[in-house]
Amino acid sequence: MKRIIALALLLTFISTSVMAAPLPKLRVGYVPEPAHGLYFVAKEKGYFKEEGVDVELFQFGSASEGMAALKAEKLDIGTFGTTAPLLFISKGSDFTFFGGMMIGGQAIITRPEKLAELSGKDLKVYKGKKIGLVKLSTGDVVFKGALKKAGIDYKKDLTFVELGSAAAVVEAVKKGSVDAGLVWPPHFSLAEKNSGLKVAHYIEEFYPKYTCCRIVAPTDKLNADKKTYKKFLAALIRAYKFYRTNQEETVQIYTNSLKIDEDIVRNETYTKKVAESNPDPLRKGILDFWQHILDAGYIPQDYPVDKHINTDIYKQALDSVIKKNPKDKIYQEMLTFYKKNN
Amino acid sequence: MKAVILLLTIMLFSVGNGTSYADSPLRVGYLVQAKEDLSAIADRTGTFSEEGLAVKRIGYRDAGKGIQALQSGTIDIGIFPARESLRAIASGKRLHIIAGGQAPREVSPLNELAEVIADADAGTSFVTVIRYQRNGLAKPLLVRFTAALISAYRNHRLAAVGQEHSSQQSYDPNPGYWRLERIWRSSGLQKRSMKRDYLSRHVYEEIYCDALDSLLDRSEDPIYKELAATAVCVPDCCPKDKKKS
Repeated sequence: MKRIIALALLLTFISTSVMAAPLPKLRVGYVPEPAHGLYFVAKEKGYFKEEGVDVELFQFGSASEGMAALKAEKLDIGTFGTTAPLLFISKGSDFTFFGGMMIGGQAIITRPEKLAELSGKDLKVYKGKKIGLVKLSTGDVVFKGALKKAGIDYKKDLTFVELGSAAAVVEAVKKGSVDAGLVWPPHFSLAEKNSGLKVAHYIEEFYPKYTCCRIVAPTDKLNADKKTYKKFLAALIRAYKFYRTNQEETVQIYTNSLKIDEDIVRNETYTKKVAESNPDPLRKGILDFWQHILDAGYIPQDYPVDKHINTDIYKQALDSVIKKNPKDKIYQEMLTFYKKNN
Repeated sequence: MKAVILLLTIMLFSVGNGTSYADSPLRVGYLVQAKEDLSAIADRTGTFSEEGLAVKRIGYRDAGKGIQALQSGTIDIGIFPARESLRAIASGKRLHIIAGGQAPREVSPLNELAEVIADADAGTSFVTVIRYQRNGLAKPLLVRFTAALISAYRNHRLAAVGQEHSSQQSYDPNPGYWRLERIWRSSGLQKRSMKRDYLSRHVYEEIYCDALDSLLDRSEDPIYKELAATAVCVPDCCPKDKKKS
């Protein structure tokens, strides 16, 4: 009898210990943009914990600071655009893209009196125009990519004015020193609301599903603990479904987390759908993006960035979520999207 | 959820812990036999003062001794030949390149063979170097120092306008990672045991980018714009008031 009691006590102790075992931790850095909201949804709705990972979110004031923190191993994951991780990788930093956060989102703004001149569905309207931009921003890279795809020699046919920030681009458009400017969320909404400017086009109209804001991790960490990173992505996949099916609550979560005007968040996220929050790694988009950077002459030498893209972890995460929800239409859509873009 | 990571970024983005240099001038080493370097022009044209910096320049006859002085803390910053600085970095010295100094004159397009360019680069490039240490110079101070060098470059360019034998091409405040990488590779400094990012860990381009940004915020000067066009900086994503430095 004593033995049975001892065994029962031992089992109780073991099960308690297992239950009390802390979840693996991931420190995740991001910059404050509305389309990064899946992190807040996953956190708020408890998806990270349900999937078995303890995520701590850290907001950064600039992509370069965030990337430096990732490099210094102060973070396990970073979401700092596409350009910044590519630049770091090309210079030898061993990071791997393994997920995504935002697709699209870049807009071309102009003054109301210029709107008619820049209307239509053809990029040729920008020929001969002076465009303000932030060098190497997603808008800069993908707009040049779109022009190239449209057969326009942007080095000859357009003039680009490089400015230091999105705010400087808005200012240049406002005072007329450029015909149009390339900015990202929420700057174009703010420019419309506060400065009376207009969105002439969203770049997505010419270049569908281009990448913005990828999720990266130090390669050694990712490879050493793929299970935890898979759980992290599974939580984001579930957050994506929530974002698709619970609009009002998502707007509230995004607004409260980022302290951005609620109307702007609603407008960008659902009304105009200028950017999509999507955790797909979008491998093909990353490779395209890199090629556009090379074409623009920003980096003097090529580098096989494909070695730094891991799509398997995302696929495994998606499979695990589908396994639990085999008939869910949104997860099936994500699978189709994955197959097309990776 | 933590909204802003303050302590982490402050610790990380200071090269050191922000030692106050308000009362003592920055000690800047230079090579005496080199032509007037950017720190001398900054001194002469008052750009250090414009940035609120007191600087004491200390000359060295030998780059090796200058780098040694930097290592030992006798000087805070050095403007020394790229070749010697890179060799010191390759040998394990904890130095960071934060800005350029001098660059080779443009090589004739007829000679644009990689090795010719690399040789020209190695022979004439100068860089601005600091010693990495936990209690070293704070990032904002380095940004101001670099901004003073950039303004000095601008002053030199403006003074050289109209001069027949302008030497403007031989100055470049940009640390120019890819140029340094070319010298690094052609000099055989990358060893098998080194990680691929060994060099990039020692080139702190963000200082130059932030310095250029701060100058462009103050003035839309065409020379600053020209420098920005050739710099490879991570684009600024967020409102300025959210930046830490």
